[in-house]
Amino acid sequence: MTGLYHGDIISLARANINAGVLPNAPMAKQTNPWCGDECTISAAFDNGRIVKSLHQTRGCILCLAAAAKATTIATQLGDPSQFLALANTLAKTLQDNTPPESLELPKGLTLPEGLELFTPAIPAKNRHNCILLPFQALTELIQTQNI
Amino acid sequence: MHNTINNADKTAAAEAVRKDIPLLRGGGVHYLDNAATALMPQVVTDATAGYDNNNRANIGRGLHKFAEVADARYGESRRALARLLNAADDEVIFTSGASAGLNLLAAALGQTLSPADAVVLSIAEHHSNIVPWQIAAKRYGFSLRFAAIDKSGAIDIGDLSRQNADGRARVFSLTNASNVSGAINNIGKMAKAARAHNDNAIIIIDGAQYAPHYPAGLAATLAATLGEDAADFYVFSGHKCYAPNGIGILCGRRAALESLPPVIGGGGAVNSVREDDYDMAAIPRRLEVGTPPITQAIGLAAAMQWAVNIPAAARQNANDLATMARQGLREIKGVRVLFDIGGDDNNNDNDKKGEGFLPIISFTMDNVHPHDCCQLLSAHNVAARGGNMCAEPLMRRVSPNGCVRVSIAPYNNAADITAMLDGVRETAKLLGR
Repeated sequence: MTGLYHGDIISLARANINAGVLPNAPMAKQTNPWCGDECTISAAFDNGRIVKSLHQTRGCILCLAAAAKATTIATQLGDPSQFLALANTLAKTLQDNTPPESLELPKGLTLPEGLELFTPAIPAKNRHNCILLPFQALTELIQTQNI
Repeated sequence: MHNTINNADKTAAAEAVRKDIPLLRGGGVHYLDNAATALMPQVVTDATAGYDNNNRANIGRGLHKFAEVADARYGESRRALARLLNAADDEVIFTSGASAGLNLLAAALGQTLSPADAVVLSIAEHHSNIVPWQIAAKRYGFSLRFAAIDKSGAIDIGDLSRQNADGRARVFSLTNASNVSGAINNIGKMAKAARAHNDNAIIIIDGAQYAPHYPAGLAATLAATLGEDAADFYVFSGHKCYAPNGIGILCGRRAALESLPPVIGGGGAVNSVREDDYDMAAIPRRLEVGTPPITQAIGLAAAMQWAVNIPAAARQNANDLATMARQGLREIKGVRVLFDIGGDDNNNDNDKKGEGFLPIISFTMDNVHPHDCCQLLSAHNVAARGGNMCAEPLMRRVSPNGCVRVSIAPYNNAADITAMLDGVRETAKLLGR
């Protein structure tokens, strides 16, 4: 069995964490034309902070797990700029083959729990977009909010 | 026609073909992604390296002896391919692939169409035989129609005719064989149905999937004369035919090719250029712009020569392996084989009848994304394809989440199928429920 599909990531993907759509909330959708993964994120904001975020994802295990994690992190951080910084750093570390636990994070930002689940995916470059898709959707959503 | 070659001979023939493929010589590689790209035999690499190392020069332009040799080699390649296609040399146009050929035809023929006209495709087409027509339709205003498929995945001939009941369809661009179902579409029957209401309808056939499996059958694809129930234009790609990337063929009768309005231009395609006008060259040059893919053309000729000489026993073995794969997949809980009409009549007489199935099997798994299945297959050294197969209109109807596809070539063997089935079983156990 490939290490990519360890029990924790399968459990996370199957747990349906934050699955759904927030009514009347801003939304953003990203798709990966190569594999057909689709992720729609909706998020509620209060005083410029993310207070709730849900996802509707049709995709592989990595995409589903990443969507659960991205929406959880967004709400935990609250600060959209911190989420953007994290998403950007995550993309770079995947590209540079650096494990998430070695992430060089912007000052004041601590590594959210659980990103190490994706470490086995680092060598599988063709799967990076599956992990990043939900983060990209949330990034797009935040950027449209002019916060 | 019943298969009369015994299994031992088929296996032996496949192993002999396999020995020609350097990538497979070390063992342990189960390459089942041939519908995406086929592997290259040594003779093709030798042909291209031979040219690049010993004869490399530009063609059609130089007056030195090196250019003359390169010209000769390039011309020989075109001639060999023309013979295969039962065409004249100038009826064979080198392109960068089937996609480029279809884009050229859509751009050229689109100019001749008006909002009163229609182009008929099928729902089974690859994106490369849909999007170019959509682009042209937006520009020139003609309508696009899509013929349905039957439950085997073959184009519904009755619906194909119905799509032109008003006689407005002037072009039909259709696949010779689906890259998802493997169903082969008989060109003669399609042409007849297409012209039932319009004698002058132009028939374009996308042979990207069919050509590598039945290269000997290519001689019958092109109409001997315009209006005959065969293809007016036929396209295919080199890289699916055991040849290098970046080369393909657009073949058509001289009158059909000469009738195409120019859509590309530049060096090599013109006789002369003035500030205010240009004078296009004759075919094939007018449709081949710039320095051609010389190395790749030489490789393609070598590849098709090799393909034509693949023993029938090895091709039948590939069909038998498809049967083995289909039967094995049916037995795995949660697996659904797409376009599974039951039985395994792969029809090893496809060369003559032009029907049946290519050795392509697409399937889905309950609760398992195709991407995950392919990743797990890769852990078994099995190369398979997962996703929408660049056929979204079709996939939206049969499996919106995409599918996994295994595609078999004459160099595959039973160990490849066994590894694939083992991988699918493991995937089902790990991720299915």
